[in-house]
Amino acid sequence: MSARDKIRENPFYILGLRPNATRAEIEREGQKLLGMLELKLAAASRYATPVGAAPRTADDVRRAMAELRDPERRLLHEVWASLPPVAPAPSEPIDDRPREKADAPWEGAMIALGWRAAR
Amino acid sequence: MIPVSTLVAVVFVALRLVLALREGNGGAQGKGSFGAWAVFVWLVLAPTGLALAILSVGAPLLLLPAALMALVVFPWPIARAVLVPLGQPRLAYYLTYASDFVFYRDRQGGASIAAAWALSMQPKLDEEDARWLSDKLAAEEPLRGAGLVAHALLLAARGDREGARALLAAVDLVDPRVCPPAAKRVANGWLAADAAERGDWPRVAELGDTLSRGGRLAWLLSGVAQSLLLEPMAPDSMGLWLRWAIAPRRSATKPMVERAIQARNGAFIEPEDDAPLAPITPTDADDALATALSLHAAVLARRTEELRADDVRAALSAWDAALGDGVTERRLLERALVLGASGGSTIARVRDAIEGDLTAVVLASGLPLAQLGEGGDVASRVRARLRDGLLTEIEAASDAIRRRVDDQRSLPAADEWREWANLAARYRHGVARAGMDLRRLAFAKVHPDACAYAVWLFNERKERPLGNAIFRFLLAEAEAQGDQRAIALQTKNVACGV
Repeated sequence: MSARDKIRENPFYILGLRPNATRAEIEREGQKLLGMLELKLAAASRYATPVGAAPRTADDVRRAMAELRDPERRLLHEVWASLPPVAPAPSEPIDDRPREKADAPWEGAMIALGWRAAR
Repeated sequence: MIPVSTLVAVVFVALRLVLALREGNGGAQGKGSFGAWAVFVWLVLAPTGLALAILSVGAPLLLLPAALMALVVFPWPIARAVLVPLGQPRLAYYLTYASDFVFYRDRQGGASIAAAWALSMQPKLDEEDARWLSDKLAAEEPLRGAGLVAHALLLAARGDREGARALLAAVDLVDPRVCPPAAKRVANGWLAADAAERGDWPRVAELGDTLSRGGRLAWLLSGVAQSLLLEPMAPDSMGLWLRWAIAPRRSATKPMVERAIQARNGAFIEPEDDAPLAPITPTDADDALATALSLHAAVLARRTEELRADDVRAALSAWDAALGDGVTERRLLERALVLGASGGSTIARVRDAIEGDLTAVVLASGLPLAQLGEGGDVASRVRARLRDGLLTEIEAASDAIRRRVDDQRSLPAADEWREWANLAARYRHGVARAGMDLRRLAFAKVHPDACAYAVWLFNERKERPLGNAIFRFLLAEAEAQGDQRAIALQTKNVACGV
């Protein structure tokens, strides 16, 4: 798992709870999300994290609930979840120059330069 | 009337001259620039073909022998321009085999380059052709520079681009006495196109730094890369168009030249225009843990190629502040009491996770360790982890080679080159990232292992070009570190020849 995924898959973010949530709140929220996912409600299909939104599945919810039942693991997750999740802000253009960088990869260079055929 | 006796005399003198040059270099095949066949072709066949072409104005039938002679006089350019694009490996092989002038130092390898390149151009790889070429290459002993390029192009034709890249990077290590310049140019051209496709423009700029080293295509791409990267020594517009005019594939490269000129004129947003790293969520300035977490998340959220040393330094110093003030530890211990957990081990695990995250991010981004700054507890632990990781990679590759030497387990020649190229690449990568400290540590390990490997290859396997390449690498490293004993040993080894 990459470092970024570790933040994204924090159980508190998956359950949409803050680190000071009680055990009862965790169970209640988990069951509620499982019900919503069972009914395929769009509101439960994604969750916010500090590194962007991520899709939510019933397995994620069950795993998150299990993780938070262990005090040692919960304490570690609390540290990382103390950062509030944010919705990505729309970026405003700085000016009207192309957003693409000059040194972007040259797609198809090998074919264009005669080093291989398109297969 | 053709002056036959004069012609014979000229050919005889030229042959003697070539033989004398070869003997002066040790007499081994492959040490001169061209052989007797090239002299015969250029002094006899070329003038005869020209004469026939002129005479064919009155007698069109003479065009046929003139065309046949053109094939023999220009085998490599014809193979490259016609047979390679048509995907005809066998014809390309046999025609290029006649190219004494271009591939004298490794004719069989040169012919194999043409065949492997033609295989890459087949819309669907003909496995039978590929096996035929593979057998030809397996019979080549020892493997010289052009053979190495052919192996790499065959790997590329079969879809193993990483393997091809590793082998072609090793071509630069081959002694020029056993590597035709044309083979090095093919290798550089392929590597430059590959790097351009991956967006590795600094590598493109490096590969074609001179026309003679890189060839026309790599030279052009190097100029384009320097312009895209806004390097101060990048050629101006006129220089770029000049490189473009002499390079092949002009229609394909024209848009890139135009793009490079636009970049020089400031049409694109420079990498420096990226916004500096800021906490990903608004945090209370007094809350050191929240600030550190926020910067940490911002580092992880940023694309690795856009990550800058300033970003990582900001996160590292924020963590130093958060973990060093005692408040975080007290908060964790209080919370552990509430939950019934042990706070002490959590602090250690948080530290471990932070260091692991930042180490992985810095490794992926390619930032040199020196840019992470000198001070700071977390920074020094991340630096140590990175150094250990890089050194472990080098040691593992070196150990693997040493074990094979001890067990006398040999691999096919191309795989031996690949294994050495892998170790050399890891070594260079480690040195570029971690500097002189790692260089000394790594050399202490790599020198005895690689030296034993090269001696085994040179004496017992008769893979002298590879053995020589390793000796030269070790000599250059020994000189860079001022290791007198290693310099003396490797100077002697290099002098054993190729």
